[in-house]
Amino acid sequence: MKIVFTLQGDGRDGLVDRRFGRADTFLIYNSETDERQLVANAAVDAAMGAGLKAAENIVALGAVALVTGECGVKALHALHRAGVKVYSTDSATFEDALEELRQGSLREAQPA
Amino acid sequence: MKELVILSGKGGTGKTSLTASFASLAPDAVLADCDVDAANLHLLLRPDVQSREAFHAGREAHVKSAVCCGCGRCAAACRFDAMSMTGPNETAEVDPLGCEGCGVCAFVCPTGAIGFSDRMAGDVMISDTRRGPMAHARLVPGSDNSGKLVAHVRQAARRLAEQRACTLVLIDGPPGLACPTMAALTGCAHALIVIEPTMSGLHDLDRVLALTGHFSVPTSVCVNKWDIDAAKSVAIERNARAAGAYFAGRIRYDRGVTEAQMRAETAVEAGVPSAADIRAVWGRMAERLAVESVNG
Repeated sequence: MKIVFTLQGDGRDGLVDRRFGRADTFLIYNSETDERQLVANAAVDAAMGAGLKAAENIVALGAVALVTGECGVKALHALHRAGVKVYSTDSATFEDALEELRQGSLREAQPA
Repeated sequence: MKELVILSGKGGTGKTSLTASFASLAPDAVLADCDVDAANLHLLLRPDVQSREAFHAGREAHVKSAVCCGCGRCAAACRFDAMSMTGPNETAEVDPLGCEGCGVCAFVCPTGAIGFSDRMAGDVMISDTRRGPMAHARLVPGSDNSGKLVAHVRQAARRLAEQRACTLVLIDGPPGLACPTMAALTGCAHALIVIEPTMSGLHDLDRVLALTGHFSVPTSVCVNKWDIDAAKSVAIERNARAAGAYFAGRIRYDRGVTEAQMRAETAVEAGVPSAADIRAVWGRMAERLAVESVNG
C-alpha cells in the first residue's frame, strides 16, 4: 500500500512539512516493500487551489493514506470522498511519523 | 524559529498597526507582509530594499501577427473582452489587463497564432527596516494576491530568519479567509486574531476561529478599539474563550495611533496612550510563544 508523507525542501532531511497543498515534497512510502520515493509536489506553485490539485495528485498516485500536518477543508473532503485516509501528525520527522502510523497513534482527520 | 500570524477576517481592524508595534517590542523578529493586495507595513517601516526577485503568476496570451489570419474567432470566444482585431492588418491584439490566461483563444485559433507566456505579477523583496529585516512584495497594477505569492513571501521571511538567527517571524496576514489567508496560516506556531467590537467583527471572529481550529493552529484573540462598544467586546471575549482561544487583551480606541502613523511611527514608538495596551497584549503573546521580549 502506498502512503504519502509531506516533507520540507527536497525531502532528503526527512523533515515533515506541516502544510499539505503547498508542501515542497511528497514521500511515497510502500508499506509492503518499505520502499521510499521522493517526488516534488506539482501543486506547490498553483496560484489558487493548491490543496485540491495536490489532492488530485495523491489520488492519481493510488495512495491509500496521507500523513501531513493539517489539510484544508476542501482537500480533506476530496480525499475523504476518494477513500484516502488523512492523518495529522505533530512529529518533526518522517521516521517518527511512520512509527506513529505503525503504532496506530495518529489522529485521523474527518471532514466536518 | 516560530511564526506568529496576525489575522482579522476583514481588512482595517488594525493588523498592520499591531504587527508594526510588535516589531518594536520583539528584539529579533523578521517581518513578513503577506497582505500583498494592500501592502502597507512598508509605509510605517520605510524599508531599505536589499534584494528583489520577479514573481510570476498566471499566463497571458500573445499573438504572432504574421501567423494570424484575422478571422476574429478569438475575439468572439473571449469572455473577458481581452481580444480585439486592432493589431497590424486587422489581426488580433491582446489587452494584457483583460486577459485571464484561460487559453480559449488558442483553442479556437485555426492557425495556431496564439501562444502564452508567464505573467510577471510583481516583485518579492528583502529589506532592512529600523525594526528588523522584512520580506514583502509589490504587485504590478491589475495583479492580485494569491496563495502562491504569500507562500513565497513566507519562505523569503523564513530564510531571512535562518540567515540572521532570528527566533520569530511576525506575519501580517491577508484579510478574509480565502486562499492567501490559508497560505499565511498553515504551519504557523500561533495565530492572533484582531477583532473590532462590531456585528461584522463578531461574525468574522467565528469564521476565523473555525479556520484556525481546522488547521489546529493555537489561537489568541484581542479586541481593538474595545471602548467603542463595551458590550460587544465582552461578547467577543466570551465567544473567543468558548471556542478554546486564549483572550490576549483589549486595546483602547486612540486617535494618537492615526496621528503617529501620519508621521510614519508605530503606536509603541510614539508612546500614545494605547501603546500600554499593545505592550500588554504583546507581553502575553511573547509568553505564549516563549520568545524574548523587550520594553523598547
